[in-house]
Amino acid sequence: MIEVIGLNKQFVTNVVYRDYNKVFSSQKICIEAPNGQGKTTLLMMLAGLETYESGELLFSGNALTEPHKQVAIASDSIALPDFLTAKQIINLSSNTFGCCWPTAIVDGFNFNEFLNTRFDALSSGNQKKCQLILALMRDAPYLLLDEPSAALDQASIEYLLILLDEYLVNKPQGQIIITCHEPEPFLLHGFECMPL
Amino acid sequence: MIANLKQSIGQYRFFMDYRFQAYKTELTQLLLQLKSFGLLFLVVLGSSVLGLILLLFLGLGKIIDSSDAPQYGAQMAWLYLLLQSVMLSAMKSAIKNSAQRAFQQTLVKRYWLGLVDIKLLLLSNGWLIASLVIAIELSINQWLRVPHFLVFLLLQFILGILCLYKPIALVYGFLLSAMWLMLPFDVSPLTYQCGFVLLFALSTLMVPFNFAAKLELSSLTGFWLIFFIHNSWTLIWRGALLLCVFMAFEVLLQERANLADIFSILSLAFVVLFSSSLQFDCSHLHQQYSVFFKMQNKQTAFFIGQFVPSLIVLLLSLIGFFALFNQASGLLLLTGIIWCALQQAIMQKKPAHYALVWMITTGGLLAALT
Repeated sequence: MIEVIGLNKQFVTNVVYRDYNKVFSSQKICIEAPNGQGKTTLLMMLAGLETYESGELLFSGNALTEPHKQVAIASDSIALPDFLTAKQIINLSSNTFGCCWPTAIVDGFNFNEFLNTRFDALSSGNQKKCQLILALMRDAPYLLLDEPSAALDQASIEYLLILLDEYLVNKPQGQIIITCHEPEPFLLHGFECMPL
Repeated sequence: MIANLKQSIGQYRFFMDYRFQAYKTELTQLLLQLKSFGLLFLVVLGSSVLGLILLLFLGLGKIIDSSDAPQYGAQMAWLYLLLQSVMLSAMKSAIKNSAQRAFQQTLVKRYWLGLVDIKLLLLSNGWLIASLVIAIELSINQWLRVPHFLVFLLLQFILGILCLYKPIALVYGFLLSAMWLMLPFDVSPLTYQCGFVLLFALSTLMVPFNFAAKLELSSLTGFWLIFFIHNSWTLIWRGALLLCVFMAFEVLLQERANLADIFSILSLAFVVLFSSSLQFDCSHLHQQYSVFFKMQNKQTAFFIGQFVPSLIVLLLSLIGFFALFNQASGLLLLTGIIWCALQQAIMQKKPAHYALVWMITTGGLLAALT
């Protein structure tokens, strides 16, 4: 369960959250809100990648001391080194996270033939696949996916749904939170829709 | 028929106006990027603009009149071509309006793009314009004595085109021609210049080899290495300018050996300037990917890593300086490292004061020496 208590966040003068409280209790949640309401910002704060003025973010009742170990995130807001090839980025991450090369996920997304392509030369769909591979390979208990189906082809969306179905099997405390403007396929796979 | 021609001319003029507008806009942006160096350019380079122009023509003089020392003249030509290529590389995206290239192709015939590219290239190539100014002044008799200068003019033009359309050939070409210059025998100036033409022509046939994509990446060191392989021009232009500084030092040392200490400090100042200014690129990269490395809990190592490339460039430059001029000095090395670290810190905290601190330190060291 993830609890957001008294969260205050603003960008210069633009207040995004003022004394915001929310409890995400379901294991699979799809956050729905119009553009510009702060969905991505919330995910980034939960992953410990964005600071906030005040408030508390509790995971199963505790604040995370090392969010990078327990939270995996895929978002367009995280700029990946665009001068590296996809293989180099995945290699770099698997070495720093100490996890194995994600053979099955790469195969499942049919990404093998793009591994030696520079990130900036990948199509938007393949860039999204690269982000998802980086997040999914870590097998962290909390998985945050920002618009995971955007730009993906139908086969890849279906493969992603299969992965998400299995993701929490060995993670009783785990949760998946996604943001999505077209949530129907996810709702069919057990996600609960929540407004922001 | 005439109506069609008129229409085409009208379209071409509109297109040319657009490209010129885009060229001016991008050049303005480029100058704004130099804002951090603003004061430096204004005070140091601004006041010495006449001197720089004079140096440019003096260099050309050495290239033209190189019958007594053909190898030295050819080295000067090589350096001149390298500096021209560095400058044009910086202006390339403005000349081609690269950002809107696909948009341009939807507007006009493909060959119009090339035509306008070359027009803007000629307008931008101050080095070629300087050579043409001298070329016009030469009489027929003088031309007959310096036919190699005609080949040099041709090289300047061709290298400009290579810079726009096949920059990798420039890298191979400069490496090959540097080897050509190092051969232990003197040939005539014309042979040297024809050698350059041949080597650059051969370079266009060489297949680009992207070894950066083949590198296995497992650490931050590899990340920085690949970044600099892809952005090698940030190192190339620094290397080219340092080469100029070292050549100037050599000439000044021959003229006034008694002022060697002052020239050493001035050389050190430029070494520090060119190495510490690399921090601008590294800091930009750090900002760009800090979230990515934060996600991997490597933010501290990534933060510290951004300071290392400048220090490596400084050390390599000083080692080169010491080796070339037999000027090894522990004090100079220590001063260089501390000064470079100071400039890097200033760049991080107060980038607007970067140039001011450099000038005050240079002045202070010169004052302490005298």
